[in-house]
Order: sequence, then structure tokens, then C-alpha cells
Amino acid sequence: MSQVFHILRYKLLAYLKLQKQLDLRVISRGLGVFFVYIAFAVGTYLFVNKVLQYTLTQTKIGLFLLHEFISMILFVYFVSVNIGNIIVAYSTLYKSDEVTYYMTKPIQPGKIFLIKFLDNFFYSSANFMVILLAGILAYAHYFKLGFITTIVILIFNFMPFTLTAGMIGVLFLLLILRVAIRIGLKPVIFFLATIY
Amino acid sequence: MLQLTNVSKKFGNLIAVDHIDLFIPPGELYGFLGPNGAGKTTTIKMIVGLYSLSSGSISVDGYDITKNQLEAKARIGYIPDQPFLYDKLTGREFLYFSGGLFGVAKSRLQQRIAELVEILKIEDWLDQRTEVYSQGMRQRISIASAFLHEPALIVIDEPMIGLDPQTAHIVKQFLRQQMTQGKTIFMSTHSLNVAEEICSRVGIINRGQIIFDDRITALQQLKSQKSHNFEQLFIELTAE
Repeated sequence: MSQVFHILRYKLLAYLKLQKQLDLRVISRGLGVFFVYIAFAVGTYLFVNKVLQYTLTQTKIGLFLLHEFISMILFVYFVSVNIGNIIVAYSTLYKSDEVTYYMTKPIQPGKIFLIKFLDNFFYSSANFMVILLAGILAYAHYFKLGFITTIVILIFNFMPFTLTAGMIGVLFLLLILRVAIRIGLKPVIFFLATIY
Repeated sequence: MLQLTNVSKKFGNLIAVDHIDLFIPPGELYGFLGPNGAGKTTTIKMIVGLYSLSSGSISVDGYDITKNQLEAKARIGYIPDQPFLYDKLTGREFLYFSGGLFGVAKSRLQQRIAELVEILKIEDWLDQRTEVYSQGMRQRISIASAFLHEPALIVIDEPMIGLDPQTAHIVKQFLRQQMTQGKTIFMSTHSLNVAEEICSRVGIINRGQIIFDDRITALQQLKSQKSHNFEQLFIELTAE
């Protein structure tokens, strides 16, 4: 595992390094991205709060129907993360110089997969995660779940749920490419599109 | 040291490498020549573990690249034609990163980096980010990173691409020095001059088969017998 931490440490170092020259363009772009993310999160938080209020106090759909509705939303989230990871994994795993570099070093293939999966996951699912995180916080606030319960939900429900969606997406891609070699890419894509 | 036994590689119906046998002992700088599409890069990619073998076996220092992948790879230093570096890291950070992948202890790594920096003359820009490096600078960092863990076998794909004459001279001197120190170097190149200048042995591959494999002196003899220059001889040997 020390090899994985070694790689992650240097990848993080490379990621955290700021632009060589901090000019106005770079700073304004960074601030712009930051505010867009914050706006998305705050917007989702307020929206979810309002929706919960409206459905439970105005239309009175009840907790059972509300949670049926939430499970449908979570399913859409799961599929979105899943598809996002399938698409991004093609370039981060199959068309990547970095993977080629790792493959020539004494690193277990499973470790390479783990490192690139994390890359892929945070690259493709960060936006979705911000939105769902804000939604969960709004839900926790509305139902007064308390700090500890909210943290437990985030760590033991939200993270495994999102990671599973991403992991299945990447594994699905491996399967797609194997099958595509035998029967061609078009039938596989058609089949998948039909299922989704 | 490097042993290829009956190695073949097929891509569908195309036979890229066709039953080649090769043994390169320590202290040899082996120049691997051949026209485009002859099977040079495929052979290299099989040696470093990037391609699986269709048949045969490859062993590095006694370790089979398929069965004992990690042990074999730990003994290889690979220098690709297009070096991979993390753009945001400095050359020094990348060297520490690269050495760490092979489990080289930090104190030893510091010492090795200091030695290689001196030999390859990379001190002046080592602490700059690699995103500002030229092709030659990137290549020299890639070469240094391949030698950090003191591998028994060095595999090089086109070492002189994009190098200016001064850098090419430094690299050639360095490779010769490594050969005399007992390292095995397997070098693919298009440059006949480079092969003639620094290699101790030369192999020529054409259509996936090795059609010539001998000491460089034998090739030079053949050249003088036929009153050809190296280029003419190469064209004759690899003619359709």
C-alpha cells in the first residue's frame, strides 16, 4: 500500500501546485469556478429544502411517497455517475500515457487500477457529488438529523454509494471493450443504450 | 541477462514479431535496427511488459516477464521515445517520485540523483517545472529516472529523438560508460550512425524476423567487403 500512497502523494502535489504565474486571468478563472460550485451547492440546498417543505406541508404526500421519490432521484444519480465514469475511464485508463508509464514499473496492476479509478472518479463525479452532498445536507437540516448522524450518512452511505456507482462504471467499460472486440462496438453500444 | 526465446506477437492476422530468439549478456550495448513497421517497438513493448506475448518467453536477469512480472520490471529501466513526466512537478521531484516507485531508500536516492545530475548535466534547470522543459531536457530527465534504481537492463526506444548535438553527445557518452560498467542496454534506433558509433552488437529486424545479429565489427567488415556505407548496407539487408 506504501506504493499507492507514494503515487497519490506526488499526484496530489502536482495537482495542488498553482499556476506558474498568478496573473489576474488565472485568479479570476479560479474564483469563477469556485463561485459556480458554491452557487450550485447553495442552490441545491435551498431547492431541496423548499421541495421537502412543499411536498410534506402543502401537498402532504407523506413520508412513504417522499422516500419513494428520493430513491428514484438516487437511482438517477447512480446511473449518471455510472455513465460519467464509463465515458471518462476510456480516456483515463485506455488512452493514458500515465497508465503506460505505470505499466512499465514494478506496480501491481490492481494498484494501478485503484489509482486511476480514484483519478477518474473525482474527475467525472465531482459535480454530481457537490449537488448530492448539498441535497443530503438540506435533507438532514429539514429532518433535524443532528451532526453525528449526518456525518455517518455521508461517510457510510453517500461515499460507498457513489464509489460503487463509479466502480461499476469502470468495470462495465472493461466488459464493454472485451465484448466489443468479439462482436463489434456498434451492437454493444446499441444494447447498452437500450438497457439504460 | 536478457533472453528472448521463440518470441512471437500477433495482432489478429498480422504477425508483428515472428519467433525471434535473442540473448544479450551483461556489458553489451545492443542496437536494434529495422525499417518502420519491422517489429522493433513491438519487441520493446513485450520486453518491458506493455504487450503480452503470443508465444515464447522473455526473461530479464532470470525472471520471466509474464510469470514474475514485478521482479522482472524491477530490473528494467525503460526510456520511451516520448518521455512521460508530470508537468507540474519539477525535474527533481519527478526523480524522487520515480525512484520511490522502485522502493529506493531516500538517502540512496539523494546520492543517485546527485550522481546522475552531474553526469547528465541537468543541474541548472532541475528545480524548474517540467512543463517548461524542451524535448532534450525531458529526455535527459527520463534517462536519469531510468537509471536511478541501478537496473540490470536498460531498454531505450529511439534515444536521440529531438536531442541537439551537445545533448546527444552527453547521452552517447553516458550509455557507453554504463556499458563498460556492465549494464545491459537494449536500444532501438533509426540512426545508423548512432548504432555504428556506440553499439557493441547490432541486430536488424525486418518483417518481424531477425535477419542480422552480430558484433558491430562484423557489420563494419561486411560494409568494407561490399564497399558500401552503412546506409546502403542496411537498405540491401532489409530490401523487399
